[in-house]
Amino acid sequence: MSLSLALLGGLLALDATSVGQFMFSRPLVAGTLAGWLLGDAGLGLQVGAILELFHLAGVPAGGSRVPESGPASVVAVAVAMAAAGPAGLALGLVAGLAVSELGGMTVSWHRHMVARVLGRTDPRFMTAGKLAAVHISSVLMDFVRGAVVTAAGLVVGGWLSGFLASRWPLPYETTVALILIGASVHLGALLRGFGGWKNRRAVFLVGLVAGIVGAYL
Amino acid sequence: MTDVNWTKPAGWMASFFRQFFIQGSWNFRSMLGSGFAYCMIPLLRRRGLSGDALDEAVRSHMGTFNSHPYLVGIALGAVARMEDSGTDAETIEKFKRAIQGSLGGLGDLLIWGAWLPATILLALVLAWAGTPPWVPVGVFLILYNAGHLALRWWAYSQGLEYGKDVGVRIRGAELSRLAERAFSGGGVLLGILAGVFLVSHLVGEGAVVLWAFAGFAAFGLGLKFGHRALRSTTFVLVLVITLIMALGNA
Repeated sequence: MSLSLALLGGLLALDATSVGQFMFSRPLVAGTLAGWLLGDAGLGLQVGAILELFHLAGVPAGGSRVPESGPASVVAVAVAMAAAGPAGLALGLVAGLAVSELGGMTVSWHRHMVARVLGRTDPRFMTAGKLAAVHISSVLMDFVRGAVVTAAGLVVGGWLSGFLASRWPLPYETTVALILIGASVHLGALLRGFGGWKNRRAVFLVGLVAGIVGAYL
Repeated sequence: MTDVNWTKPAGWMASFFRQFFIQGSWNFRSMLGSGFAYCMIPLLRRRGLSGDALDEAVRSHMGTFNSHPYLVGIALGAVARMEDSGTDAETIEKFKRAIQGSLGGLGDLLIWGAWLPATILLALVLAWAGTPPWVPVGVFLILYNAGHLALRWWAYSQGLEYGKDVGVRIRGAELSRLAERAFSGGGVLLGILAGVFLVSHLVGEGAVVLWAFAGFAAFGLGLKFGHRALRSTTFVLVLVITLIMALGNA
């Protein structure tokens, strides 16, 4: 199963930048796919949705380093499933956020490496064939990078959840509330990205009232 | 101006599909430059170039270039047309340099800033409404990619059709108005999600006022400081969870 998850992580890493960008690598989708592979798509969706809240306001503009969500979501769901219950949510989130950062660093490393490979070739001797070889190798390397990040996260996350899960003292409701407090910062930043309070308060408040009424019903 | 009798260059479809791999060799040296040249190969081959002539033409496209991946088709299509009409390499390079900034900025605003978060928010609202897992995931993938694929196709077609004049065309397309609509839709969905969280998860807790206050304060923090607050507050949350774990049940 770990091999399937690592391969999934590799494919999701590709989707994020190198191939397509169809957004299978978003935590909401990646988490559900990982949950489905592990036999609990519902938990996958739940963990993916929580992790999504922490990635929603991030904009991968230009060459900026952003956390990588695909492999991280796979690890988060696997850890949440291993730890189970509220401890699973908390540990899964921490694992997901940590692997996101690690993944983001390896994306930068990969980009530097491709730059070095291209830089080593004298521009006068670059050919169509060489360029295609570098391009395809880079895609394959990105896949391997994603798979390795996922595998490493699964090993470390599985090991940590083995002895940390029993130490989580908070009930489910409090755990979710704590996580949502953290996520609220990201939601606030997203509203700022949508144009800020001044420009969007009317639509936001309409939605807020609808959400409150809907939740009570 | 645009030549109405002009037909699409051979290899345009292969080049369009290579767009989906254009970021495969994204790097800190030429950014999308090598990917751009990779996408040009089918067009150059179909023009009858081979051997040294092909290699030289490929090299001329390998300069530093960056753009939003979904809108890069505008530059790719326009350059395909310019190549087809025999425009010299220096003019093409100038065109690429001139257009890349607006393609990047517009794509970041429209896709990463508006369309992606708005469609994800819709999926999150569906997920929190308790629908089966495939519903939010399916709705997001279909809706998001309908916009994504339509934009890629539109961008490439515009580039092919208008060539070096495409800049005037995209200014008239008013893509920023689309972004504005997505911002408003996203604002409503964000409000719905915040309302659901407030009622279902924060007010439902024991210390009602405290949790709700913490939620509003955190939201306000994000609203005030934007992206600058994200990494540090996420780090604090991870720290808090780790501390709770360390001090928790032995």
